[in-house]
Amino acid sequence: MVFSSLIFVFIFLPLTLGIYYLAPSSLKNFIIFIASLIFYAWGEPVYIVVMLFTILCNYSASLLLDKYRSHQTRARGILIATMFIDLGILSYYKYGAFLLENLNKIWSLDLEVVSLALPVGISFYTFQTMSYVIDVYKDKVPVQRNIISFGTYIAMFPQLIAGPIVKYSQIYKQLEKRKESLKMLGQGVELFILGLAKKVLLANNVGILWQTVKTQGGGELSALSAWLGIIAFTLQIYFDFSGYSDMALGLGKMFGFNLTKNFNYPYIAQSVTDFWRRWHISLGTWFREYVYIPLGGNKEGQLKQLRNLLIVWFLTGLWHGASWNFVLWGLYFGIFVTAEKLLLRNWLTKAPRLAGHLYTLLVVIVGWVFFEFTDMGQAFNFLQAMFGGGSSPLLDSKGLYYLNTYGLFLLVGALCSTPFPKRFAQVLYHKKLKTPRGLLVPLTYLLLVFLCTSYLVNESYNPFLYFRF
Amino acid sequence: MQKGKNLTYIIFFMFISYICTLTSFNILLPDKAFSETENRVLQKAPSFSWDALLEGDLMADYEKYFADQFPGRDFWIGVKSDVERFWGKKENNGVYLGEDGYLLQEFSQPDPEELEKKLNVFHNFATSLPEVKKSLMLVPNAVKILEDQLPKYAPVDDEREFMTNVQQRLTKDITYVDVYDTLYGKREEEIFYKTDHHWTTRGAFYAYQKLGEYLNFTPDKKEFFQVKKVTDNFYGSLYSQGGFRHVQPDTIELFLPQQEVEYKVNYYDYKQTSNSLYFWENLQKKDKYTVFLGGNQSLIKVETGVTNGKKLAVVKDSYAHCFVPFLLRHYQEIYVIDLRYYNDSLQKLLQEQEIKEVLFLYNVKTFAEDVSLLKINKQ
Repeated sequence: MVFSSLIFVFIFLPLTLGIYYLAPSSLKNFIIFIASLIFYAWGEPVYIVVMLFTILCNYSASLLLDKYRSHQTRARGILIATMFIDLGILSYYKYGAFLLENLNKIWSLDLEVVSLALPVGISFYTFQTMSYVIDVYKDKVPVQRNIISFGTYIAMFPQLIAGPIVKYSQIYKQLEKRKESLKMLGQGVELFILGLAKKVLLANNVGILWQTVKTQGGGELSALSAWLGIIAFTLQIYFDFSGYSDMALGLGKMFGFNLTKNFNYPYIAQSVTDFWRRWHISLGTWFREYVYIPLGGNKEGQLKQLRNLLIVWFLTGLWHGASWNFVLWGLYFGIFVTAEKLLLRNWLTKAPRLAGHLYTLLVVIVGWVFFEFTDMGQAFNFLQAMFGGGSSPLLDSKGLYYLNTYGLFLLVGALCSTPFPKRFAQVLYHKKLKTPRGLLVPLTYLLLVFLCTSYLVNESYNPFLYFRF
Repeated sequence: MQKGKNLTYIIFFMFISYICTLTSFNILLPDKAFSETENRVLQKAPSFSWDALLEGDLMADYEKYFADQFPGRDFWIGVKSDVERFWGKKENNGVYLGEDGYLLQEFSQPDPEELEKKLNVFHNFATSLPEVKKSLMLVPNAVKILEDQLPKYAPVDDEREFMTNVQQRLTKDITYVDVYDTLYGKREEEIFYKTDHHWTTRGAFYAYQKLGEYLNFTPDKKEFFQVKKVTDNFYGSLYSQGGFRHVQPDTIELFLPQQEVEYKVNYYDYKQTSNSLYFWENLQKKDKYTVFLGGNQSLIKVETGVTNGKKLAVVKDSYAHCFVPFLLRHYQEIYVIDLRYYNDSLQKLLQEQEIKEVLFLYNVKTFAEDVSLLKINKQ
């Protein structure tokens, strides 16, 4: 199930909330756990077995780890075995086909490539469960003996399918004891509505423009179309992903959890390093804590630091999908981050702020081209269209048409990716409730839900066109 | 922050009441079986089975059911369409919203190879039937004739260019019936429906006037007909396809002869004969254009009271439906063939019935896209 669906908003959510708040606190985790399993099984009835296996396996492993804590080699063995299983399952489903294809290419083998459907959320929950086992091993967190609580942590539907990647250390206290309140419910609803609106009203619509441009192909694109298209995608991926994260945070709050923020206006960043501190924050911190620092981070000389950065950015890229373009995309950012660390730092602090913004946006936007085209040739054709190389014209009537029909929307979208609307709302927030301006805030939320409803109903708008045989 | 907190409460209660209201309406209101606006059967409550559950079909069907039966479905669809209009979106599902509320269906040039194939097929057809008089009437669509209605810069290919291309490359053994200028000259009149992809009877009438020059008959003048409005509440295919709201419904006019003309029609698909080309009861349906010939059928035969011995085969798409009635006084027998449904040999039919004239009547969009035309040489 996804959050941005009628069934979730109008049935699953109110039902789960109702039952949750009626139940005694001893049953609350159990209810979230069961609800999460239903949520997951709704779209993936079979793959739920994989998730339950992961839960059971990591749960038992952590108990064993705890038992043999004093016995260093055994504990280490258990840790390695668990990581092997977790990453094994992830690789089997996510990277299996990719790996075989590459093996075939390199050694000209003829292994049969079977591509499996990817279990939803596996990249997210695998990283969560790994954070738990590693932290238990390092004795940073107490072992969880209650399997329901542990299952709730892994399967918790608010963050199950698109993050944020919640580290166990951030949440284990809340699993045992948390205080729901009307205020949190309200804040949760606010966040949820904002997230829903980002996804349904903004992301999906700019996505249509991007799809049109993308399918048009590099050869006949004008620079104008290419830029409008990739800007549309830049907005789409941000609103989609951060909208989902907002909904996750909001839902968490409704059930009394405080999850950590995953996005912090990434497009106002002033350097690529800054961008990655604001984009998908939970992934960045995960890699930092469980890969970069264990490898030695920056503590063991520049050469090793470079190696570590290379590994982290390679993996960051690969995490986004089993294809070389994602790896390239990761390394591309790795180069800029490294360059900023070594060379550009001084320049960036001295340069006017606008220059920093423009530089960062340019790097990020060009990055999205690599992210979106699995085929390198297509990516370079597209870049050529953007930067006026080759035969593509600067303007054409298609581009002008896109500008005409989407221009205003893109502008509003860009504005919504900055903190401006929030600041504006905060001003209104402090006005007296009785004044019409104070009422603007709740009315805006209502309007957003109203509009989202109409877009969600339309998703199934499916006229039967009789003349199309 | 006290006030902020109050607002938070208000937002929470508004949200909950909003959801509960809609969900209770959903439970209380009876299910609808059919959507008029979308012209399709709506999803019914799925029945449980373990297979469906494990495959995930049950959940998918249930989501469809929930969305299809959502209270005020048509209203919500209208809201979205209005919002999009506000943002300047003028196209949906391949339908453009024109300036004066005309809905225009997009056109894009077919693959040159596809066209080449089609023209070759026509060439072969012409060589294998030298004794038959062959003609092709291509009818431009509203998107071309009314192109000044299109939103600015709309990326639509030029139908005129396509038509000229066909005209120039079509084998000379087939007469190209050029109605472009005729229709273009009448563009101020309502020759296309606003909400449907067809031309109106009026449009067909002007093309009929022109056709006489090519097929050597004297078309009846306007005065011969009594123009009868049979409905002014027609929301056609483009209305459903584009989902735009606030457009006026169309009027359907029939051109009926002042004096009654007797004829007999054989509807082979329906296995019935009739003395009328009109299906009056279809005016009560959603797709009111089916008042003409009762919609698409593979083969219809009309025997008129005319005794000139002339037989005509009209190989056509649905643009011909309102056109065929005009031909009644000029031929003794008319065969109306739709290749999208007719699976026997066209040539055999022509030979067996000793038909000496064939008219291909297609609108440009169908002619460009439809592949059933490739069947004309089937033995």
